[in-house]
Parts: sequence; C-alpha cells; structure tokens
Amino acid sequence: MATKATPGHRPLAWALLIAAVVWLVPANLLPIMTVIETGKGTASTIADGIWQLFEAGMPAIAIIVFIASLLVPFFKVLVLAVIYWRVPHETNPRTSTRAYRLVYWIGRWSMLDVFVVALLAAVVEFGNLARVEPGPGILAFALAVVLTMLSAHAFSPQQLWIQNPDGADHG
Amino acid sequence: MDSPEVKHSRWPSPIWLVPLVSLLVAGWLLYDQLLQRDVQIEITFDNGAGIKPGVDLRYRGVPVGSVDKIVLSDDLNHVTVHASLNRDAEKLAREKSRFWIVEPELGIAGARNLDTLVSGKYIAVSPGEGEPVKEFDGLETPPEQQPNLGLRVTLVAKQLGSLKKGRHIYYRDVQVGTIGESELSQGGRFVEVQAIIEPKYTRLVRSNTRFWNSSGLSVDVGLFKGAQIQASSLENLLRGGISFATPTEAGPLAKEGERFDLYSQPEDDWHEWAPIMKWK
Repeated sequence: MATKATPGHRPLAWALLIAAVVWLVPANLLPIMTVIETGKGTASTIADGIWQLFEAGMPAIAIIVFIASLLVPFFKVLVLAVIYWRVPHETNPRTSTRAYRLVYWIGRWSMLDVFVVALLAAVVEFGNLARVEPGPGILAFALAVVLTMLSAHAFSPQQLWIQNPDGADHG
Repeated sequence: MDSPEVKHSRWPSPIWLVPLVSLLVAGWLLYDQLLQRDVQIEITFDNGAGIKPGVDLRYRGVPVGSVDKIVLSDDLNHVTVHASLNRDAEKLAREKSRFWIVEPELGIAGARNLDTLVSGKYIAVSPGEGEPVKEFDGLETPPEQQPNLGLRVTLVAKQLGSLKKGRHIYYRDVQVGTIGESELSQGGRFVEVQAIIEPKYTRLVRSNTRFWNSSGLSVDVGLFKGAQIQASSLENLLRGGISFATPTEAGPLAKEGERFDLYSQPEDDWHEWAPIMKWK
C-alpha cells in the first residue's frame, strides 16, 4: 500500500519545481545587488557580475561564478524535471538515482550567492562613500534555490525503482 | 477483506497554488522593475570634455537623470553619451528636445554657471515637442547661442579682433544677437564672421545697415581738437562685440546670409540714425 501512496507525492514535487522555474526568470533578469559609490549606484544582474569579473581580468573566477550561479540552478531544475518525468517508465533507475543524489547534494551549496550578497551588504557600509544594497533579483534567486531543494526533498527516489507501475499514474 | 476506498478530489491539489502565486508575484516584480525603469537615451556630442559617468542631466536646475557611460563613435568624430532619464522626466525626451553641456564661463566682464566649477559640468535639457525619441544630437552651445535660430548674416572684417563666438551684438547697446563661427574667407583676405540676430529683432537689419566692431577703445588725439575717447558699454569694452545701426531711410529687410562689411569704427552720424522700425 505504501508503494501506491508514493505517486501521490509527485504533484508536490512538480508544483515546487515549477515555482522554482518561475522564480529563476526574475533571478536572472533583475539586479541582485546595487553597488553605490559616492552616491552613484550601479545595479548588476548575475550576468553583469560575471561580465565584470571577466573584464576585470579574472576569467577563471568568472567561469566559476558562471557555472555556480547561472548554469547549476538551471541544470538542477532540468535534471529534476527529467527524473520526475521518467518515474512511471524508468528504465535506468541507477543512473537516475545517482543524478538525483547529485542534485540533492548540490542543493546545500546553492545559497552561496545569497550569502555573498548578504555579506557584502552587511560589510560594505561606508555611508555615502560606498554601499552595497541587495536587489530584488537575489530574493528571487533565494526563492528559486529553496523551492528547488524543497522539490527535491518532496520526491522520494524509491519511486524510481518500482517495477511496472500498475498504470495508476496520477500525474 | 476491506480495501481502502480511494477517492479522487475533483480539485487539483492546493500545492499548485505555490507556482500560481509565484507566477503572479514574479510577473509583477518583473513588470515593476523592468518596465518602470529609467528611460535610456543617447546624446551625441562633438566634444565630451568634462562629461563622465554619473554627471547629472538637469532641467530647470533640477537633476532629472544621469550619464551612464560615454562611448566614442566608430568614425571617432563624436562621443555618444548614454544617459538614463528618470521615469517622471520621460516627457523631456521628445523629438525637438535639446541637450547641451553647461560649463563655467569666466571672463573679466562676468561669470556664468559658476556652480559648475565646483560640481563639474552637467548636461542641460530643454524640452521640445514631437514624438518620444531615444537618440539626440547634443548642441555645442546653449540654445540661445544657436545659429539655427534667427537671422544669420555674414560680416566681412579685416581682423577678427576679440569677436569670439558667443559675444554679443548690440543695437543701441541692447543685446539683439550673438556672434557665431568665424572663418577666413576664400583666399584669406578677410575674416567672415557669422552674426545671428534674434528672431524678434530681425527687422532691425536692413540691406543698408552698417555694422561696426564696438569692442575696444578708440582714442583720437589731435593737435587742435584735443583727445577724444570713444567706447561703448563697459561690458562691450571688456568682452568685445558688434554694434549696428540702420539709416533713417531704412532699406528692405536683410536676407538670410546677406553679406555686410564690418567697419572698425562707426562714423559720427551713424549714432544719429533713428529709423522707426515697426514691430508687426
């Protein structure tokens, strides 16, 4: 009976995953922070930040940030979507479970951007001289990360190992 | 054996509210942040000296935006200033709007825009009519010194003297115009000075009008007549300018681009001329 109850969790995982995808859009389009120097502010999105690092002659760090902040969130969402999609007809449960565990493990590192912005906003506070203010993008980013993690948490990889599910697929 | 009765709700699980609410809030956030952003405009200047990112755009002395970045045009002949205009000042970006760089003017005869000495230059805007546009050609001088307004005539002089661009043109010591560009004539025998008469004073200029260089002092010393010193207003004396007079029997209105000789000093009776010019 327990095996029959588990498919019921999938709407939860799907719903959270879709919400995460929704939040990824503003996370990447809106500025994540505003650096205010001598009263003049420049707002930068994630992509802006990567480009600035690149132009500042730090391609290695730029690539790391690019992977960690831009690729990984999309990658996680994509992998989870594929795994959820394949549940009823999973043919290769071992690979899927490994991918799932990888995504689940990455989850705990995904808040790095949020911490960086929070740290900068707290540390760089010199009144009118220089200031860092968090932007709406970082809120969306944090929500996307949390929702992705919750979605992964709501899914149980045991479902991948159910042989020949009896067609009672509630979607 | 009893088996549990499985009921399916006709309604989707309430968890679907999460993506739905997310969609609404994220959509509103995007709309609010992206569409309500400042208006981005581009202004092209021949010379961008003193303009740097962060410089204000001002209208009636109040900041309405700021410069984001400055780029050189591909042919290296212009600089393009990218600026953002506050949302509430969006109406300033119209087809006929004019932008110019305000810089300090310092001379013995007066100073203007002294605040820019301390705060740096800024870009002033004067609103125009027409469709909203994003790209503008900046003016090199403030609009009141613009050659495309008013009557433009060419004065031919032997020497340029202190008749620099932006100096004034006087009629009975009232400022009625400004001096524009000057250049050497073909062959280099004369200097051609552009004179721009304000639109409301164009009727003062007739085909028989005499122009003279009223800057400087003329000192005439003779054995029997003593010394005669002639100068117009003190400002004129210090800054240099052009005066003109029209004979009492005024000729037809001067045409655009008409050429006049620029005399180095007025003849005595020119001051006596007092034609009645009817303002329409």
